[in-house]
Amino acid sequence: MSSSEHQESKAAANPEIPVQEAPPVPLAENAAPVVVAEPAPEVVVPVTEVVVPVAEVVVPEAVPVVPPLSPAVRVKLNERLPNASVGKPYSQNLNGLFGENSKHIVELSLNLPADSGLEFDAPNANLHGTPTTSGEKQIALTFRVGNQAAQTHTLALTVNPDPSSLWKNLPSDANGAFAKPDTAKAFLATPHLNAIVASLRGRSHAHEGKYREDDFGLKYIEATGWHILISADGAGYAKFSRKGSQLACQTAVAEITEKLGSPENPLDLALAKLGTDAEPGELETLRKLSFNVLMRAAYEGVTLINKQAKESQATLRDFATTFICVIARKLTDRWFIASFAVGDGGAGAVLEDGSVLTLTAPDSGDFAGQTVFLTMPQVFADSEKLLARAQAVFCPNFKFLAAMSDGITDPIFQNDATFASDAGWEKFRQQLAAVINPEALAPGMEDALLDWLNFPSPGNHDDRTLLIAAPATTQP
Amino acid sequence: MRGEPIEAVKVGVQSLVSGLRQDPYALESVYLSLITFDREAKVLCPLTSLEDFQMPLLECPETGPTHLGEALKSLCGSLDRELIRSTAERKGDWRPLLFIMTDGKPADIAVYNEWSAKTRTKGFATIIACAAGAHAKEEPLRKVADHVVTLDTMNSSTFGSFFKFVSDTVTSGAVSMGATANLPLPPPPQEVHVVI
Repeated sequence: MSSSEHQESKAAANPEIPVQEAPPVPLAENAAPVVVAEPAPEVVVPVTEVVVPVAEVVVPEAVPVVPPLSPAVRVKLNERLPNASVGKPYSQNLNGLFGENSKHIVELSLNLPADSGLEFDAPNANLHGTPTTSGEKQIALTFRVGNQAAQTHTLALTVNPDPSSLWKNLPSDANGAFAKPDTAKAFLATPHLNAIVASLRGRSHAHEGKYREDDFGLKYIEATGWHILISADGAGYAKFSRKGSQLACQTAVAEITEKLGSPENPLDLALAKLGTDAEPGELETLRKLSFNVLMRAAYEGVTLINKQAKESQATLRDFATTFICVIARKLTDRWFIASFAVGDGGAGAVLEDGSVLTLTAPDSGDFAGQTVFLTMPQVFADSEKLLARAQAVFCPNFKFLAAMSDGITDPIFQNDATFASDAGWEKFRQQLAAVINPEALAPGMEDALLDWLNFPSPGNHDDRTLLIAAPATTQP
Repeated sequence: MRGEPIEAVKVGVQSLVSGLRQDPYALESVYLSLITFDREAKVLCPLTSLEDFQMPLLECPETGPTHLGEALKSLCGSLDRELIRSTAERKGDWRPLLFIMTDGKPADIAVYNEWSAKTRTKGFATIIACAAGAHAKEEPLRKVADHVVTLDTMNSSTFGSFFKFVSDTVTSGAVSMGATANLPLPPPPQEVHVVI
């Protein structure tokens, strides 16, 4: 059955359609008016607004007029369809274009381009499908009001491109100032744990051929058994932040290695004095001793960044970076983990019972992307707040611990509450488990992790850096 | 604003939108709202995703006062209702950007003084005001804007340049920044004069 036959049979079955009384009159599309006798039904014609088609406009004067149709039918036509997007299913009932008068509309048909990916289901007046090409589409719409002659209008449809098809991956300039590779990775095996790290330039930077702004530090201090894990994220607005994050990581690793390089340092001496059960007061002492090491290391980084800024005739702000630093040492019967963090991103350890021990406090503002940077003078100005940036914990063992930039926390954990929840970390573990075993790390997994870092997540296209460490004893 | 200038603004906004739609990051993250002001302020379009945005009808009267203060008041109300701020449970929106275009000067001085100050406390990443044409006054715009730019003429070419500049600013807006930092501006095109 053709669509017009279908329409007629439908019309016959529907007594409300006022088609019988008006004699059919030939009517050229948008032709000059025919002679008028009676008030004409108001029918819409396309408004020839130059660029922007206008919604919901009735222009009775310009309508080719026909002999009386009774009852008078007022038809309003909205000529712009709701936007569609390439690759996303679209469904729009066109009766809606005519408002409550859709019942007077018969023989509705659309002239769709063959490659549009859209189809018109005439009996149900439903335009549906999955658009295949983007752009401003013009679609011819033909229909009759009652038994008047057919009229044709142009519908406008905006089809958005599929964002994933628009991303460019432009290499950064390897010879530019403070050039940095677009990816980095490492594997570290120590007598106590294995660790992997991967850092990937975000799509938003790749799109413009900009540098990766994240950086990391990963080191084992053999003499004392300390592990250092650092993630730093250069600020998006700062032109040399890639160097800021690098200096912060490198300087901190060097500083911590120096401070904790021999067993005679205050932190190791205090740990050596511990009994089997640490008193709460002892843990606080250890937190402060850790703070002294880590805060100094971070401050040293700022000092060097400042020096670099002067050499480059730039400001400290041009090198803005966050700083998430974790140190861990295996004692005879348990682990001691300490941290110092400025800015978003974060670190945490998943314990053997599946609960999470977060090692960083939230450091974000009212809006997305707002945070605190190591390079801000106020960070070191308030000693009480500064001390609160350090944490210290004991745990008998852990499944794995992770430190990451906000390129990971934003898409994976999404908010501070989830980052602090066991369920959030379990979901994170499951996502990692698709490509690596975070609880039994082995060489080569850093490659798999780097591949995984490219996962899609709408609106989340920042650099991504992830360090994972797991006790070596849990290896199969 | 009427005649060629308002046509040029329409074309400019439309090209801004089509341009942003070609930027994948913008397509996934930009929301737009349009407020017009003459004797009264009208929210032509509340915050709408770039994906769903449709150009509303821009109409301006032939004559009448320029109630920029009313527009800012309306804007602050919209922001409080529509903008999502970060909480522990929910990540907030990116910091908003504000672009003001006028070919005149604020006529509602008292309202303007009050609401330009309030607008400045709303957390905008940047506020750019554009004084377009010979009759626009740049001086009052400094009260509300971080940056004031001027356009000598109001034709499609100068507006086109201005909206390109707006587009560049918008696409650079989704970056991490300090809580109080202002967004650095992309270099303005030749037709857009930054008032220092």
